[in-house]
Amino acid sequence: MRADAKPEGLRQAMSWLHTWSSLVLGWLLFAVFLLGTVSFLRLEFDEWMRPELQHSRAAQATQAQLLEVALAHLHQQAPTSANWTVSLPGDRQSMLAVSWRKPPEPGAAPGGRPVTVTHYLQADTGQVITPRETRGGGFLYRFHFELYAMPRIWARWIVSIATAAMLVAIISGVITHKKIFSDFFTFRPKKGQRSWLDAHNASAVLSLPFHFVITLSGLLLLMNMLLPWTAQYVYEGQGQQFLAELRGQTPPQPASNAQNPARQGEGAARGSQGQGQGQNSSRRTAEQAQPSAPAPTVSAAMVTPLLEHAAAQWGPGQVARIIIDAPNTARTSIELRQETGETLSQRGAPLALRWRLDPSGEPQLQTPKEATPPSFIRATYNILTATHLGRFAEPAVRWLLVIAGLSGVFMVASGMVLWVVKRLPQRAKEGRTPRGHRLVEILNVAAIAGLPLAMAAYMGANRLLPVEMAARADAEIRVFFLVWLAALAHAAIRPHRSAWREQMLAAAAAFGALPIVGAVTGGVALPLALIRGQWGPASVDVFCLLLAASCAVVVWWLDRAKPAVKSAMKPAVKAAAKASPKPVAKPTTKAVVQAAASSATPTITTMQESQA
Amino acid sequence: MNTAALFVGSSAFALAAFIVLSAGMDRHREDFLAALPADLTHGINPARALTHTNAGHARMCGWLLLAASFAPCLWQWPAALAALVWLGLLSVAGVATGLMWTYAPQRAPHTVHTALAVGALAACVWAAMG
Repeated sequence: MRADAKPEGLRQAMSWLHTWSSLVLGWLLFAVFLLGTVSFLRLEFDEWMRPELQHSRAAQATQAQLLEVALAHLHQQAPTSANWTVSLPGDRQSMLAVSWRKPPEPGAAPGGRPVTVTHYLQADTGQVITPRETRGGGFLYRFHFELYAMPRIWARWIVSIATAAMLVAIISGVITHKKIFSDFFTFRPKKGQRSWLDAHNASAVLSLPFHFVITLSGLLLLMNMLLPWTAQYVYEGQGQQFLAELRGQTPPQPASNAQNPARQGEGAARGSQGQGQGQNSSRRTAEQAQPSAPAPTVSAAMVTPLLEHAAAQWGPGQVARIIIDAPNTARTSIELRQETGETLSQRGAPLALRWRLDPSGEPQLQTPKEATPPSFIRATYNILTATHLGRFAEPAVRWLLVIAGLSGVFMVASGMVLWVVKRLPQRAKEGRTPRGHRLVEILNVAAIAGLPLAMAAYMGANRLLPVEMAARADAEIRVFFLVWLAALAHAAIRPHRSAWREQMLAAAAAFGALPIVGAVTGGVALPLALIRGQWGPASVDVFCLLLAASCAVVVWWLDRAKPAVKSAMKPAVKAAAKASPKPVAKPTTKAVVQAAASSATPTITTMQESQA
Repeated sequence: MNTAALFVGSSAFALAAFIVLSAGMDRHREDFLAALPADLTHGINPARALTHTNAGHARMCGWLLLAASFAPCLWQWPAALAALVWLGLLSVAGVATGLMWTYAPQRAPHTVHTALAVGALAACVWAAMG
């Protein structure tokens, strides 16, 4: 696309593609990348934003105590439920949670989704803890692929298009990069555009496999929405069957579901509403109920030896969940599950041990059904998407994912800034700022500095809004968007450099303050959380401090890097000096930058002058 | 704890690998040779031994060290997860290498030595913990 109609090389063409495909959706991609990185810590954010749960004392209690409390609560609250789950404190949650499947209301439509009720329990007293109303990390997680307040499908399409643009940008970026190998470890500071390009390249190339996989798998996760036609054609509208086979499950048996409404009347036949349970539902229908046998009661004394068995097999502290199917019936089974599995080709499916109670109430270990290994295509899909979802990750690996995510955030941000920096000399020569350039500047600040600021505000609002406030969760989200909007307005009315500096300073201060605010307003302080091994709140505090440090580095760099921009800005200074009513005798570095900034934003200069 | 020792050891080896690899690259070779202390010309200096013959030699040593950094990951996790973790550690080591060449190129041999020592120590700790 050259004006002089000369043939264009591949590299130039790719460079053009890289620049413009990235620019158009770059701001959205920045948000997706940053909030996606936060989503690796979603459960940790959930716990941080529910400080009530941080004092459940579950992390310090013994397993026997926890079992006693949990089972007593379940016996009392849900003796007739089909399924109980006890979540023990572990790496990603420091509280004790019990949940059970609530039988559908009488008269509810057959086949409706069973409701799961979750209670958080105080480990020593067994009292129910009611956390504050918040959407926690879930809001940030949802925003990263469904945005907010728009039809879910539209939002997913928009994010998918941005993701596809990202994939284009990654591939075209690699082709454009002239010296990908010889510049592998090269960073040349204090050279303006060159430094930005080096930083952009380094953050992109050194984490290239991660960027590529996370982008591709993001598309794969939405592939059924993006490319539905093949499945529609082959399965002829049997969407459920397609999804079940896709997951490598046997399709749900229509016969077992049809029995549900009839069986619900009988008290003894609980546990047959195995909807959405895949393997379990088919397994359970095969089992024969023995209505004559007396129902053994699930007790802590019964489960404790099973936990010891699991500890002997897996090592201590590996059991994350105890799942009790059809409790207090003759068909009770008890399953112990790890938090996650490590085999990505199986999507990190956790290891599990399963017992069935024989008629005398004695648990019998079941030999697990040999899992069929996934096909090659399936395994590839599983590995890629499991990486994206990150459910498998133990804390250290999770942090590695967070760091890789942050390098992606930096890559997008540096690319956006580079677009502006690259055009500074041309702007200086012309002595004016094209409107489009100014727009990019404003949106850059609003996205790159404004979003972290809004995130910090969201977390701050979580702690500072009154706990009993009505529609509290919505209010938190409103604070998030209001602050983001304010950041946009601020970026639009302030000179470019000042806008960067002020917003980054605000974000650094806010993130730096959050661990303290969190501790003062009912959370566990970082040192205490580390001592107690409450990794959830501790991780979020550390993440906040990391973001605070990053923003502070930007501020420090902006203050320090002034001399470096001098040479690039010289023509702008002359122009500014000519335009300025006050004679600039000997421009200090500060004056240089201000002049450069003000000449870059003529409208703002006049506004400020008229104010003065 | 186990994972922490593995991370430290693996990324230390990766750091040494990257520095040795880049010492064989045109852009960094001069820096590296200039940084070698003159009085150690005839002494035992692993960094020199790793790189002094020619760039090809350095490259081979670098790749071997990279393999050494991958081995513990492969031992600990199934292949896919091992590769994921290893690539993550490589990114961190790569950034460290780039920053070192920019801000402290004279410390390159020293960094190789330290990284090798730290890596060996972490490997021992990791092996001891099983």
